[in-house]
Amino acid sequence: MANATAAPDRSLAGQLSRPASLALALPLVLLLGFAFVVPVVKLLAGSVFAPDATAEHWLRIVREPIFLRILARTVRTAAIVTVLALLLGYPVALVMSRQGGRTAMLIAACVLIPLWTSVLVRSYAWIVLLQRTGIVNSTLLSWGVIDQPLRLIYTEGAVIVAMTHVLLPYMILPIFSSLRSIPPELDRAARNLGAGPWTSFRMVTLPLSLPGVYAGAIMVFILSLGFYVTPALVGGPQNLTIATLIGQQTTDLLNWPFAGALAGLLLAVTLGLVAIFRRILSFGRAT
Amino acid sequence: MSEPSTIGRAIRTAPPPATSPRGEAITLRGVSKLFGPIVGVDHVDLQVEAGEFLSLLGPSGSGKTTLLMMLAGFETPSSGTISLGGRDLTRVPPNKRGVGMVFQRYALFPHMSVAQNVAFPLKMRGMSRAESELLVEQSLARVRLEGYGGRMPAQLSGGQQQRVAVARALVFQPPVLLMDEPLGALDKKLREELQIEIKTLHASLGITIIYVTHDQEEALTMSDRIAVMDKGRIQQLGSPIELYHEPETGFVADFIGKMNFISGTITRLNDGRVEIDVSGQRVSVERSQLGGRHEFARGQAVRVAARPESIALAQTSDDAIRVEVETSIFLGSHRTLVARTPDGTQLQVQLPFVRQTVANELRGTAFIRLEPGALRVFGAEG
Repeated sequence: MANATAAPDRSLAGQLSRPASLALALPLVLLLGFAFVVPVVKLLAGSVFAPDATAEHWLRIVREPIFLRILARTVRTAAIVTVLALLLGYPVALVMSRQGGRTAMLIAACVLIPLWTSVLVRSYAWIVLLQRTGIVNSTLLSWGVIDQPLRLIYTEGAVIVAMTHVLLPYMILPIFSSLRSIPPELDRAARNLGAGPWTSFRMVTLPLSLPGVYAGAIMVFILSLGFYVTPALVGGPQNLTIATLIGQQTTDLLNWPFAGALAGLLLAVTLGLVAIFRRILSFGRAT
Repeated sequence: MSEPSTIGRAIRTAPPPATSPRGEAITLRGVSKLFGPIVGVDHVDLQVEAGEFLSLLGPSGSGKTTLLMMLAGFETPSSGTISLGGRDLTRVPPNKRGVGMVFQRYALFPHMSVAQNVAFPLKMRGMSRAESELLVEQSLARVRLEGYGGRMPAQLSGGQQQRVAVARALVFQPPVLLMDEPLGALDKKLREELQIEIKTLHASLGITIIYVTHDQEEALTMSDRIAVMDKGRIQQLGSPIELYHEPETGFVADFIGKMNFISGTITRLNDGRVEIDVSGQRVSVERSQLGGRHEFARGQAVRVAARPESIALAQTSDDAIRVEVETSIFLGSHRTLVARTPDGTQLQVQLPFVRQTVANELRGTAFIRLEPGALRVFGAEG
């Protein structure tokens, strides 16, 4: 809007000379280089040079259908989790952005406290809830809704529910921040000009909050694709995702070259899907 | 306003008067708004005539914006009723009121083009694109923005954005236009230009305009009548001339225009007139010059309000107020003296500009005299 027009750059970065700002970025660049780029390159290189150049590990992924099936399941799970998180998260973000003071703080706390809690703890909490003698089963049994404990844990459903819960804040926060940046008088203007509450939401609030929706959806989707802890704990052996598969290869089977090939595949699929996503979104924004 | 003729042209191409909007009267009866224990608007009664330009003027927190929000339907009165042209609006949702509104920060939809913005209220009324196209063009022409329909709001200057907002608010031909400090975000020159444009639009459309502002000059320039608000109440309702020359309370006197307050004591009261000793000058004023709400008695301390232009320099010391001149400011058409009375009250005196006037060299002690007929008298605390 109007305040997006170029203001004189008074930020700290604007006052620094170019070498000085590069120097500030150096520690992070070094850390990322040593802790991220080098291991990834080594792992990927390991999948094709073991020690001589070979395509054996990559061909194995294609030859044995199980691996592509796991990949497809991972993508599907990530997509379901993203949609669920969006459906659950958008209303929360909307209520949060419309409330003032204490109510907004309370909702923000409910969203943020899980984020500060370890993923491990939250995943174990789902085990407590969903296991054979867990809270859900014992409640249903005591109400007489069921005779036999349901098989809840170690299913794909459990993975989806737990992952949605764990990743929900990553959906809510970007949507909230884009909703918060919409001036409240826009909704009032729409109402004044003849739009009912729902029409005003559909024609003004929703389109203007889409950047937050896109950001949240991409974040949740990417995180879901590579999610390890939760599927490993609540998913069990029949519900391998690509990340748990990689974990199996490195820790149990010590097949590092094959793990490297799987990791390379995951990386390529993630980048590819994000690129497609961005393409669609920039197209949507241009019209 | 370099080409006022474009406005004339736009009006000539506008649809015939039968379809042009006509103003409707607004009646507020005993309207109050409470925010918890805080009183936002306190028992306001107001009758706005059809086609009138009425300003709600007051400092921030005076309740003027809350009153406007209740007229638009964004707030519900805690008590009282609002009606428009005989139709009760008190509980009608904002989208069913059919009143136009212009917001301080334009409130254009940033994801829609100018034409889409202006067409929005028509679309909400179920009008097809083909039908609305002509109306949108005419509405944009009315605010001198022909051919801007394809642009996005962010590509326009602040003044242009606000003109689009006016076009959008008028395109569905509402009988009433509410304006919430519409020029507050613009610089002075642009503000003055748009003031004239809004006045011109008002004159040509004949709609009722309720205009909220905290800028008294703007209110004086534009309004048929002004309601001065403070602490949730209408302190005084009247024409700009009435408010300027006959303020009923000290607040209104102080808020509208420049006003000096000088302390005085009532020395004599009789049927028609009151005599006051104003720091040395004895003035005799009519009872009608006394501010409305106070009973006055002999010996009572009062505040005498005098406009800078109703004070003159006196040649002699008797029957005059002694002041120390602090500065003398040249302002082209006139000269303003800043002076201080012996009790420390600062005064502004506006002297007509005369070449070689003594005021050029005026420093130190001087004597001034108030013009009795132009004074207003208020109680010491009101």
